[in-house]
Amino acid sequence: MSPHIPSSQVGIVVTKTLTLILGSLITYYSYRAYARTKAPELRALTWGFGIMTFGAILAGLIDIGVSAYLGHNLLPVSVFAQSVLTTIAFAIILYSLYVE
Amino acid sequence: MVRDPFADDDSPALEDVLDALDDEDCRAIVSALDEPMTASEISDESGVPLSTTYRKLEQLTEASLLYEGVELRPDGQHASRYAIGFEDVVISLDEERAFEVDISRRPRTPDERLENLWSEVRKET
Repeated sequence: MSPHIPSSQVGIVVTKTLTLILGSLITYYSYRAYARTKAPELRALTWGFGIMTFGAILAGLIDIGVSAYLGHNLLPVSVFAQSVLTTIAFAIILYSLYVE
Repeated sequence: MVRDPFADDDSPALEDVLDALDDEDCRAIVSALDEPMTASEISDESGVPLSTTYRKLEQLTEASLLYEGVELRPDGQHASRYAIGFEDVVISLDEERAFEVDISRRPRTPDERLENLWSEVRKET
């Protein structure tokens, strides 16, 4: 790897970290609301936000951790992994609006 | 019957339901509610004076006939909005011939659910 780190890569790390922090907070508050009300829709909402947040962690791990370990650029893989999790998360959040 | 997890799990007391339905102002309020409204809108629409409306809304909410949602406004002045919370009220006798009241709830629309989900999450912040 070259010693020069592209600024876009720095930007990805910064925004992923922010996504992680903000997503964790939303997930936490959703979970607290679920724990208080025991409402199944709030449980689904918590899972939705949780999975979306987890996608950011996973993408970061693949992009930085695994890429560095294997010496390959795995950015497309990490983007794909996060897209899959975001799609699942949106499906669960939509489901939370219909769950009994 | 659609169970509403945001409403009280216990069925309302028979007396509360009968008292609310026996009340002319309460019935006028229920009839006026074609969409979720604030107390002052309900008062205008039903012709029940505002101070009475507040009292009757509490009575109807207590009886689980209305549900109260919070309207989130950008200026932070949140107003409660009330909507019809039932489709049928069934009064029946159980095995011991005691009166039972069962309220079947109106299924809520996804946008009402979204509003309620977020008002529940907001309570945690």
